[in-house]
Parts: sequence; C-alpha cells; structure tokens
Amino acid sequence: MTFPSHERDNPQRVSTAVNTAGFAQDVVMATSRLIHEQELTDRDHRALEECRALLERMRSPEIAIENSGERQLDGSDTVALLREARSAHPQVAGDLAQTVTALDELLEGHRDSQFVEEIGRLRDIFLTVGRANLAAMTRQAAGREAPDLWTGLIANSIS
Amino acid sequence: MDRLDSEFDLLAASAGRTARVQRDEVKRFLEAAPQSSRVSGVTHEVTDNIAEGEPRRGMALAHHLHCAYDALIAHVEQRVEDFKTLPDPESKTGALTEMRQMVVGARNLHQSLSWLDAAANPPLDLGTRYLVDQLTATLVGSRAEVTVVAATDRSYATVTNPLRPVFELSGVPSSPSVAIIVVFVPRREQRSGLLHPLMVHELGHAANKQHGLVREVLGTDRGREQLSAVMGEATAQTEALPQGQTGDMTATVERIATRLMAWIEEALCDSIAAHILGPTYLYSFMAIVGTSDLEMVGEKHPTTRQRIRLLLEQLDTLGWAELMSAAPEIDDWFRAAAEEEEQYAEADPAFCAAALSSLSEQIVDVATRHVGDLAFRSVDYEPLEYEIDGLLKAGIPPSQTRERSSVGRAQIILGSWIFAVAKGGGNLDALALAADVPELSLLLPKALQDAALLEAWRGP
Repeated sequence: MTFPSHERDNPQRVSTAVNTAGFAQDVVMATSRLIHEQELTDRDHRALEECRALLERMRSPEIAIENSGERQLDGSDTVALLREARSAHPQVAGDLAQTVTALDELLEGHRDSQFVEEIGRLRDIFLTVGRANLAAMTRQAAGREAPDLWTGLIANSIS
Repeated sequence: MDRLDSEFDLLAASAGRTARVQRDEVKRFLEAAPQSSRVSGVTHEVTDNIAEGEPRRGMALAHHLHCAYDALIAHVEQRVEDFKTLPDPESKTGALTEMRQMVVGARNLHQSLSWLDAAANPPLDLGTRYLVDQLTATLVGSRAEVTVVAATDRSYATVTNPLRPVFELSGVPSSPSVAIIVVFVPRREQRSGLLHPLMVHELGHAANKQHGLVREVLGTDRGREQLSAVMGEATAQTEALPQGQTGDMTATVERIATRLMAWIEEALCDSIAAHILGPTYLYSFMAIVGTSDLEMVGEKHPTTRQRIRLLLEQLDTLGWAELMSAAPEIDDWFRAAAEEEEQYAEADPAFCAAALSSLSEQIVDVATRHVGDLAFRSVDYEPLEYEIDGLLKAGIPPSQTRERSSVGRAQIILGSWIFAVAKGGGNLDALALAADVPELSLLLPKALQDAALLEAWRGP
C-alpha cells in the first residue's frame, strides 16, 4: 500500500513537479523584473506573494496541516527543494528574514542596492530549485549532467 | 536569434506538441462515450457539469485529464509570450530549464492514458466494481468517480485528483466537488477477490483527501497535545546536536510532523477498512503486508507490527475476538506479532510510534463517525455464519438469505475468507493461499454481484 519505487513516474508526482517548475520560473521572472525595475504583471505579484508565504513558512515552526483544498504549492515539495537549494549554496542563501524584508522594501519602491542584491540571490536560489526539480524528474542527482530526455522513457519501457 | 532563443522555441514546441497528442487520445475516449457526456468546447468547469445519473465510468477522469492538458498547453503558450519580454540571460536560462521540465513532465504524464484503458476495460469483476462504487460514494462522496487500474509497476495504491497541480499552472481551480480517484491493484491480483479488501484501505486515502480526516484527528484535544509534543521533540533533537552543528528547527518540526501525519493517515485508513470489513481486512492485510518485514519503518507507513496491534485492538473492541480465535494458529500468530515491542534505531520514528499509539482512540473515533452505517460488527455476522458457509460448501453463491433478503457484502467476503482458511486446514499458509481457492473464483464475485442487484431491487 505504497508507491514502492516508482514515485517519479507516478503522474500525481509528475504533475506536482510540473507545478513546482512553473512556480520556480514565475519567481525567476518576477524577481528579474523587480531587479530591472520593470513593471510587474498580476502574475508576478501573485508569484512574489506566494514566494513570500513560502519563505515565512520556512521561518515559522508552526505545523502546516495539509488541506486537500489548498494549493499544491503549499505542499512540502517546493519547500524541500528550497531548503535543499539553500543548503547546497549557503553563500547565496542569505537570511530568510532579510530576504523577506528586501522583497517588501523593493515592492514598496524603496530601491537600495543591498535589497537588489538580496533579491538577486533569491532568484539564484529559485534557478537552483528549477535545476534540482529537473534532475529529480529525470532521475539524476542534482549536479550531475542531465541525461538525454529520451533515456528515461526508454528505461521505463524496458522495466 | 541566439542559441537560447532557438533552443527555447524547440522545447516549447516539443512540450506543446506532446501535451496536444496526449489530449487527442483523451478526446478519442470522450468521443466514444454516450452523447450526453461528450465534451463540446471543453472548459475547465466541465467536471462540474456532469449531471447526476449520467454514465460516468471514466468520464470524470477523462475530463480531468483533458483539463490538465489544456492547462499545460495554455501554460506553454503563455511562456512563449513571456520569453519575448524576459530582461536578462538569467531569466532566459530559467525559462529554458522550466521548459525542459515541461517536456519531461508532459511525456511522463503519458502514463495516465493507461488509466483510461482501464476505465474502458475494467480489470475487476462486476460484483467487486459495484462494491467499490458503493463504498466510494459513501466514503468520499456521491460525485466521486473511481477507476481501478491493474498495474505492473506498483502495489496497492491510490491517487486522488492526480493532475490538479497542473491545472494550477494556469491559475485554474479544479472542481472541488468532483473527486477523481484512481486505485491501483497489482496486475497479478486482479482476480484475487479475497485480497480486494485492501482497496478499501485505499479508498480511505481518498476519503481523507476529500474530508480532511487526519485534520479531524489532530483537532481533538489529544491531537493538539501531540502537535505540541512534535515541537518539543524537534527542540530536543536540535539541542542534542553535537557542538558546532546547527540544526534547522523548522525543518525538523516539518519532517517529524509530516511523518506523523502520514502515519495517522495510514492507521486511519486501516481503521476505516476494519470497520467496514471486520477481520476480513486483517486477513487480506496479513496475506500481503504481513509477509514483509514487520519492523520496517517507512516515511509514510508505521511498522506493520504497530498496524497489526492497532487493528487487533479495534477488532477486539468490535467483538470479533471469538470468531477470529476459531482459526487458532492464525490468530495466535497475529497476536504474537502484535505483542512484540518494536525497536527503533532513530528518534523520529520512535516519537511518531508513541504519538500514534496515544492517538489510537481518536483515530478509531473519526473512522467510526465517517463510516457510519457501513460499520460491520460480529453481531451482524453471527446469525448468517452457518448459512453462508453451508451455501459455499454446496457451491451456491451466498447472496440471499433464507428470508430472501440480500446478504451484506462484508458478510459474503468474511464468509468466503473463513471458508478458504478452513479449506486450507486453518494453518498459516492457508492465509497466503486463500485467494486461490478455486471454488471462490466463481462463487465470490457472483455472490457480490447478485447481492448488489438484490439490494438495489428489494432494498437491503
């Protein structure tokens, strides 16, 4: 009564990973526009709000009891990838509280080079999340060379 | 156009094309369905538009898949537009990484098409399908649709609203009122009627997703106490780290809480299945899960030993002890397995096992409330015990009582288990071989089917 070893092929897991991929790029786009002082779209604002909520969740010891009606992003996958990315790149991880402050300040229009740098680091973390998610989807440990996309499919068809 | 741009175009074309051809397969399934259920100008709300009473086998699942592919295609199209406005190489690199994930994701979603094949050609006998449909309607909701898939790559498992996260890519909410459930049964066991009770545990997962049953357990006074204890445990673990090491307190809390909630869910699903099926569930469970390492600790599963213990406590409370003792070798093994204390090498599982034990009463309470009238007690079985056994021995499907009312499905399956165990000599190996008793391959599905028809015709 479990998904023994094929969770990565399970469409439910795949669809969660696809969702995470979309969210990570939403944040990358929104932070890029923020860094370059471009006008933010509604989607950018939503992405930054959700990103902020995730960062707050990572700071808070409150236990999130999953609710089936909540967005999948509230699930632990994205948070786990974020934690992994932050611990793999401590030099860019920064302090969560500072990141949240920088986000709030920039959104308020208080442009300061320190805040811009902080958001640049946040963007790097989300770029890493995207790469790690891709590696997980293609069964490769993060940091290893990504395989040809067909390899996984051929392996699946044999097993 | 530089390399990044052209590579992005290639990936976007590939992701979009993969999603489209898979959506076309779903369309073919929908077009083969009765006219009233067809999709015209598919919208994301379509699953809400399926009227009560329409033929629905696989239809809700197909709509779900269709909507997911629509959302994926729309997302890729949006990203093609977004790419034109990206301000720097970093954001373009991110777009490229994302689009690779869309290609891999779209291709891997391919597996979900096999679910439609199972919906079109269900692997289970009709009697079991009636039972699964009835239980799904009661446990999950009248607008839930279950598809059973005989799978070669996994054990008994379930997914609920599996592609919902893809809908959310485009900010489209999925329909909360319709639950799409896919239950997996190992391909080799698709005709093993005595093991099908394991599916009831799987439906328990769907019920939890839809009704938040674990949240209910944790909302009790004892549940809140245990959540506070998680914080205490995480603090203790963080403080106990060797000097120089720093722990992430919130990550520790989340890790322990995630495991505890998953274990509660498993115990809850066991409890639901035991309430509905009585000892039958324990027999099926032990025939499959009981033959694995009883002490194995999982991220999502408590040890089998602890699960046996919780199940026995519950079955004894429901009055099943005497009936179960009629097969002493088997019963003694269950009880001996439950009596031994598990040894935990790590702090997290030791903590979660203790927390789970302390919540057993609350778990059973929530399961009892949720199961309602479906509860099966020994007093429901005793009056029919000899009659069912006599019919099976005479080669007659035990679907109707002498008073011409239908026999409950839980009674039929339990009577069949007892018949099979007795036929196997009542020894432990009879537990493993029960599913293969030849008489039952015909009598059990026929009895389940006839009883369902009788019940629908005359009322229970």
